[in-house]
Amino acid sequence: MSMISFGFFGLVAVVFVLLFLTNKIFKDDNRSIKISNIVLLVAGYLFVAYADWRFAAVLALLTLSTWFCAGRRKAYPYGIAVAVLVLAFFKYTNFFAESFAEIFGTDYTALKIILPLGISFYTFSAISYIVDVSKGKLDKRNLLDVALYLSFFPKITSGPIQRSQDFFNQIDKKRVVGWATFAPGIQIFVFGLFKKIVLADRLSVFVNQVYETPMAFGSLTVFLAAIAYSLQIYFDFSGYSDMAVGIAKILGIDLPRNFNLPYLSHNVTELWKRWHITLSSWLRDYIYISLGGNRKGKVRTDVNLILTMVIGGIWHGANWTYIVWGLLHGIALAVHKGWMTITGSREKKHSVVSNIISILFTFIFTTFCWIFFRAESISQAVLIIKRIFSFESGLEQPYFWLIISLVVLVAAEAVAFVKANNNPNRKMSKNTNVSIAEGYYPQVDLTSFWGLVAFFVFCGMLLCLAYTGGSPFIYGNY
Amino acid sequence: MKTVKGFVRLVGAGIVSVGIICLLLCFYNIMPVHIENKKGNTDYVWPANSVWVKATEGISFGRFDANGYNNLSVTENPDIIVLGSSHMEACEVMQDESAAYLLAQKLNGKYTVYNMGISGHDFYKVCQYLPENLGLNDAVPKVVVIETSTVNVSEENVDEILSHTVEFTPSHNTGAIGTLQKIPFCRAVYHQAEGGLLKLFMPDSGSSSNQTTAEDTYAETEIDGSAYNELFSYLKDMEDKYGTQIIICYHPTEKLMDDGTVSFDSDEHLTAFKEYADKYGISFVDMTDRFENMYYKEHYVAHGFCTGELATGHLNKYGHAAMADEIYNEINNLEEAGELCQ
Repeated sequence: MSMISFGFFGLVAVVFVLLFLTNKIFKDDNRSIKISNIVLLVAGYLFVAYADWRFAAVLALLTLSTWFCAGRRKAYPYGIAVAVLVLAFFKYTNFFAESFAEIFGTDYTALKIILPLGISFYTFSAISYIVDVSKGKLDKRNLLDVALYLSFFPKITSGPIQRSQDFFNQIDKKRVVGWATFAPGIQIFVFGLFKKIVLADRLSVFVNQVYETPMAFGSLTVFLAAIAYSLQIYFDFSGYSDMAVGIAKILGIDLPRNFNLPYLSHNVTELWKRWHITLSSWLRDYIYISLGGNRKGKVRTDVNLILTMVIGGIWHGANWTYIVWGLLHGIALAVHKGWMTITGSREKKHSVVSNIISILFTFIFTTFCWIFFRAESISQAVLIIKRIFSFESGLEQPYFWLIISLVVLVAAEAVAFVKANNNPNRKMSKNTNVSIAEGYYPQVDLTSFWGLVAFFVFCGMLLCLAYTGGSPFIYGNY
Repeated sequence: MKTVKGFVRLVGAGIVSVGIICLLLCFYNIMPVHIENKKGNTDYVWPANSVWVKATEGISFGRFDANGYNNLSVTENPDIIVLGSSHMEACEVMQDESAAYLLAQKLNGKYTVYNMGISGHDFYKVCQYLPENLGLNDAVPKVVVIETSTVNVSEENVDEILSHTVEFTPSHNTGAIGTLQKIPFCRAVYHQAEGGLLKLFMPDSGSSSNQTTAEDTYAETEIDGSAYNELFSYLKDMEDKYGTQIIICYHPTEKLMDDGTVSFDSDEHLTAFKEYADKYGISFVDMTDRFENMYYKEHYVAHGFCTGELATGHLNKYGHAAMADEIYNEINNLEEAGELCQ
């Protein structure tokens, strides 16, 4: 069930009404909380089972294993191992078997393994829960809570990867579901929907054509397509995240922000604090720090950084392109860390020009890395790069929606920058090498006449401008 | 009372927002509503002197002439009329970029040109309406240009043309539907729905893989020599009866290949079409070679715009310019051969 489907909207509406009625009918807080949580749990399993009942079975088994192993001194490593093995089996069996066969020149027939819905995301959530409980950061929870944490349907397909403590804190309290959650939630949802079906999907038309037939296009257009993909994946995934945040908000749960104007980053270190924030912080806390972080010397720090990012790359999918993408980011993080140490530029004040150059350079580097991420194979990525640097002529396409998307992006970032500058309470960062702008959700008062008009105009334009060819969520594959 | 107030506010806001969206659409997609053509030479025409704005495919705007066709102004008793589908109607390019306009510029007053291309009028419908179009003015045009992107002719097509039963498309400009169509927001949403908006929200419904494409149909259809014979015999009769010259201008669809080459629709139907045109002495302009040259030498494709995929959709300004060139050359050839009365 896609998040953009009448079926999904129907599910959300039913759950919303049930939660609303639960609050109204049951005056006892504990009972209201328990029933609300059961409603959400049932909805989560229905959502997963709608795709395939076996997916629900996998989720249930992982939930049982996670609940059982967490907090048991001898069992918890097995809990982590089960989560990792489940993920590895479904996601990487064919990849490793194929790579093995290629290396040793043996025959290989791909196994028919379907990737269960959301497995990449809920296994990471499961691991973080087991580790947090085992380290004493979190009390062990009952089976219902763990099951709900892993199956909460707005986030199950593609995140955000919410920390268990944050989630449990919310489900322990009575949540008032009604207009107060619906009004902001629906606006965040529609905001995300606009990013997805107007901007990202329109960009996908251009990107897909150029990636399918790069030799037909001139170098400049291939370069523009690479930039277009940077924007497409941002609008697609941040749009999805916004929609998840919006739906969860409607149902009374706050999900963490996953993107914070990433293309305003001055360097790759800042980028990873602004891009897919919940994944990068998960990788930092559960991989990088577990590997030793920066506590074991400079060389080990660099190796840990690179290894963490390669694991992050593999997590995205079973393909060498993701490994190269992760490797490039890992190397860049290590180089940037070294650069900061050598020049001490973390403490230096930078000029406006220097900041703009840093932002542009970071964007170009990110775009270069996205070429590997988007390509179906290393050879296709190399072909795209070669085509860009060949300076050859071919079809040129000044794609209209790329210009519109760039204008929207730059305008949104400019507004965020002005808002941050005008905010008297803003904390002055000691580190001058990071952007002060913070992401935001534009909100209007839906109880006012003009607030409603603004919202309806936005919804109407969304319908008129939407790309109707259909394009799946990029992160729906991971 | 509070609920009633809230409801009134909701409805009021809805009405105001539709008004604002309609204003915003003036910069994106405003098309008038087709009206019935009382002259009977097409199913419908555009309202006289109505304006359009389009950024959905090409980025263009303009005003239809007093007869409801896409010309800067009406040409009385034109020497050349251009008939065809939405490609010739040319609402995706600016008015001074259409093939008909460029052809007139090239002819530099020697012959007057009038564009009567109208969307939804495919080759068969144009052939059906040929007598009506030729008898429309006091003077019969010297040349009739018929644009087509299909060369597949079946017995059924020819029967429909000869019996004047090619499916009629009503204009729906009256009643509730007519009124709704005149609200730009409703029209835009309707077009989006037609384009797949509902499917976007119902991704599990139906599968496009079961649908047979036009190309598949062509591939499956065998050549029917008698159908071509009848069609060209009919066209030749038209030429003889009205003392005019017909030029059929065919533009193939393009496909970009992953090795950087381009391929065009080319099958036995095209060969048959050429053969029969030649047999009956009907001028036939095949744009394939021109488009191929344009791609390899000038790096342009004839179809597609900066708002979507290249090499798909309607003719763009390069396609129109190339067609104007080739039609102009054909007119010169006819003149040189003495087949065109001055």
